[in-house]
Amino acid sequence: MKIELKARIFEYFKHFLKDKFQLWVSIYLISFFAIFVWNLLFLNSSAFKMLSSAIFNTFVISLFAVLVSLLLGIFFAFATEANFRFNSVIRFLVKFILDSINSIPQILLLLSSYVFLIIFFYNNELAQMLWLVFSLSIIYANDFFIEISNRIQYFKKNEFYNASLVLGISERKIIIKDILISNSKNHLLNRIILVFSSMIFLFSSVDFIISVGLSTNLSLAELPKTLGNILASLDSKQDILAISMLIKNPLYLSEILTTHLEGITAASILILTLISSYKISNSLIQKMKLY
Amino acid sequence: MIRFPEIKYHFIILLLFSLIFFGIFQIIPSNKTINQDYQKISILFKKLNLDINSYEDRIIFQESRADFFNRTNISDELPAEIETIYSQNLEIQKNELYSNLENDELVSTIIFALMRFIFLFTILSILIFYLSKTLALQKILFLTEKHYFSLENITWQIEKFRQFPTSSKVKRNAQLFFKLLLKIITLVVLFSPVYVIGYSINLKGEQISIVMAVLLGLISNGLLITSTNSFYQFLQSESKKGYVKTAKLKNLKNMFENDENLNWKKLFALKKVFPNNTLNQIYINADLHFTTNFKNFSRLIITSLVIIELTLNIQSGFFYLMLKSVLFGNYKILAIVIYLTFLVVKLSDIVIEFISIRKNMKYEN
Repeated sequence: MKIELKARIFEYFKHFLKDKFQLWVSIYLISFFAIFVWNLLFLNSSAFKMLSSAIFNTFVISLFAVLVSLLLGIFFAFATEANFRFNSVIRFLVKFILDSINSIPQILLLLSSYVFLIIFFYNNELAQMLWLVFSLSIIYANDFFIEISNRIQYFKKNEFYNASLVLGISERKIIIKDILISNSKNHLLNRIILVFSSMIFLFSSVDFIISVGLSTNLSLAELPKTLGNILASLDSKQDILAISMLIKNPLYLSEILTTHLEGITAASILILTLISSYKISNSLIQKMKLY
Repeated sequence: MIRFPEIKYHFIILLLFSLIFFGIFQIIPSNKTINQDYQKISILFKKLNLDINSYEDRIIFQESRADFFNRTNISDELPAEIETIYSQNLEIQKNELYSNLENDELVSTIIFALMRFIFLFTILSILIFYLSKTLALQKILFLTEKHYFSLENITWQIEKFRQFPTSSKVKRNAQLFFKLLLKIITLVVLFSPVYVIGYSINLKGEQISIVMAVLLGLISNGLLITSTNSFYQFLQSESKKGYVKTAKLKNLKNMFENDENLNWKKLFALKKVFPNNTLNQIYINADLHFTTNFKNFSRLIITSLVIIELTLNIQSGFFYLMLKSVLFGNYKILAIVIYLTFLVVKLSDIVIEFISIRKNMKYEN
């Protein structure tokens, strides 16, 4: 009986581990939860509160920015791919704007957007967050635009597109319902995962630079706490520096995991998100045979 | 006369963007008035015996900023003593601020920093282009299920493990554990932002040479692993296409078969050729897709270089100059840096497009 149960559990795990998408989503969520519980136990309450709000702000800003850039991507793709008056002019304008944005590395655009943030949104946290969502959405809209345009162009070559038009179905309905919702949701999900992780990385890096680089400015707005500015603090720097002690003394790990938690947690959340999204995206591509 | 429409398109974008940029550039106010906040803060730095140009000191200041302001009420009104120092040092501060950011010296500083950036960008791009293809080929050819240890095929490993006699189980267990540990460490390093790696080994800006910057660019920020994965996916999708199946039916050697021509020397060669093997055509087609898509990676490489310079405080860097100018409130330099970076990106786009067209023409003929 015991052996049979053991075999059944083994079979279940074997089946579970075979689905890489399922596996990596589970790894991400479990690790995230484990880090949270560990910090709850060992990190002092004020640092825990600050870290939690930093993670919350980073994820919420990125999540909203992903959704807005998805909508912008759909809008721009529709403007260039659908047939209406002045289509060629609009197509060139949209392509010019997006190509120009795409030709400036994202980090420089976000750094410039922070300059505006510091000048215009002094000490207004909600306005700062909204500005960041807006900036990130504009910067990443091109990623969604390319993905959606490619999907529309692919389906335009199929007979069903012209057949639907002949049947009197509106082009908007074909693009939104038949192409995007029915036939491209996995492609869009994959793009959302990639853009989300890329956004978190970029946003944290720029926040890190701003927190240290512009700290001499008296009028520097009090920026919302994020993973980037947590990592830029002196405490976090010392926490991460403690990792080098492991080479001399591997037993120092216990010390790192209990007393150097702030910086280690911020860095691990960031790295965990990047690794997991890369793995989740890869497994989704394989599972759904996306490309 | 430009023959290719793709390259022509890049030139049109370049021209239009330049026109718009020069329009915007005229609007940006010329910063001849010193940033008031910067003056105040410079004085505070001096009073605190801190160096305003030191990265470490800026962090220390950031940390103690709130406490200091509360103590002195500096945010409302400057204390008389500091106010006096402020007025006395106004001219000195002005000279200090602009001594290295004016006229000819500024132009030569920008040109030198730009050349350094272009050199770094070119070296890093070539290395990533070569290594991505080499590592992806190595993964698809030599890392079979037996060698490729990962969480995904752990069940396969466990089943194998069960078949071993009890005496060798401990040894095997230890092997599995170390392989998994090594893989996790490699993944963590490759995906770590460069500032986390820099912090963990206490790396300082002045210690970072060009070679070190290139190395950091390769091993951090997830750059190499994502580009390798991109080429690997192109190889995989090509290997599933109909022409590969047809070639197999015609008894051409398949890439997974034992072929004496497939060796490490061939794999690491700059020009990779695999004669009489299906892999040759798979590689050529995947390479064409990868070259066209490399434009996206060139932007990521620049992003990575910006992060390396600004977070590890490389003071001679092109983008560090930009950050410094933002700090001084000199937004014209920020605009110039953005425009020059745009030119570098567009130039790299044109080069990549040209290489893709050349490759396409070579294989189409």
